[in-house]
Amino acid sequence: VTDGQRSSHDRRRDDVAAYALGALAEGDATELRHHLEGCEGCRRYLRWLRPAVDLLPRSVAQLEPPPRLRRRLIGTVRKEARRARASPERPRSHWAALAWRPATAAAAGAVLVVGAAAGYLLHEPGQSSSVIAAQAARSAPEASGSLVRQDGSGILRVAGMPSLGRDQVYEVWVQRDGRTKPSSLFAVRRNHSGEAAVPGSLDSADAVLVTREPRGGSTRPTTPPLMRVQLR
Amino acid sequence: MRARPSAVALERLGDEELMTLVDAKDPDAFEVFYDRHGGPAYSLAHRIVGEPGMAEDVTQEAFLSIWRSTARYDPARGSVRAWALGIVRNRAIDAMRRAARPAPKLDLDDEIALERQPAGERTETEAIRRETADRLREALSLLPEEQSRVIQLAYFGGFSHSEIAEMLGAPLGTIKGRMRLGLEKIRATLAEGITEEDAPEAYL
Repeated sequence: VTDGQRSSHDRRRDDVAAYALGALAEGDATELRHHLEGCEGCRRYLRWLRPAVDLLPRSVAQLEPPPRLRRRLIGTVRKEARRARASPERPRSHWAALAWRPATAAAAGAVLVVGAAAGYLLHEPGQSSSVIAAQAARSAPEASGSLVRQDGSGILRVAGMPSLGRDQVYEVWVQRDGRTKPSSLFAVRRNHSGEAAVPGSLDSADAVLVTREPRGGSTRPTTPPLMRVQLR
Repeated sequence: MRARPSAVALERLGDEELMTLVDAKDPDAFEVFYDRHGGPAYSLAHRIVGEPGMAEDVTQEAFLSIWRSTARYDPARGSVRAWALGIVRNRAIDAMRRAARPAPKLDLDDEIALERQPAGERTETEAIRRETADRLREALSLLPEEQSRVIQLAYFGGFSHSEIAEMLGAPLGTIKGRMRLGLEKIRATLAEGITEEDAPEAYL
């Protein structure tokens, strides 16, 4: 790299920093975006820099927003939601919206109650996955299931599960180093099958368990596991 | 039994799952979303516009634009919090300058940002999101005044680099250089304490 090249490259990096800060006027921003399209190094630099910008708002003194802001906002939103419910093109169930955007399944601490479209994730091209069979407890003789591991996290698919009471839910747990942590909640269909996302990395996990819990879930299992997927 | 989340279940949802429900126009999910991010959003708006009434209006506009899905979240862009605050920042700057001229924007949905990150980078980005406000303030306070100043003028003031150059009577190249050095220092401070295998190779 000659000195001339280096300094022009350096200038680009200066532009990337200004761009990340939102300090490029539109013409300059367009020009830089054009450069970024063809320059993996600058794109990587931008991705690296971005968290610094994203966190700038945290340096600000934290204030309590006025309660009337919440009232006004929530009031407007509820009114608009009621109006939308009255209109015919409303989606059948908003839980269908949760149906398997792959990226959302990776978020930690998620609770997913899953509708119909569970097969989708399994058919994402270009990703490797593995399937591990679940063992059912004697108290759930009809139950069967499998855990599909994909990109570190997993999807649990079950069938033949016992029916839930009105105020009950199935809860998925991840066991790691002897500790059992809550993962997600799910319900089953009338035909006793269901799916649940097991978000977060399962790389160091020992097992995935399923128990029946009071609605809203528990922080530790309150009933014996009905199902167990041994990971190692 | 219809699968319907209780309030407790909604509160336990991760930000990204919550956003899918907000996108699907679930007002309960929106309420949880506001309670999680409304405070930082209002604080940021207040810092930019410097006045409670206007900060309130800006926050309301920003959250309504999210509710009405005129602004859509994509997980590849970063955390839900960072995305929502980016919207608040742009709205606040706009509100400040409505009378004057269009202000430069943070790019919240460009293709470049949406491109998939390699796993190592992603891990580090996740780790950085958990950084505390204290650490960030420390990072900012460690910056030379001239660098911190241009960053604040750009991000919180909504001034373009050429406007800042004019205001400070310094050459454009100098201003851009200060922005870059300052951001790199903040970024490096944030990365401290993250294991080396998670950190991407050096860029400098």
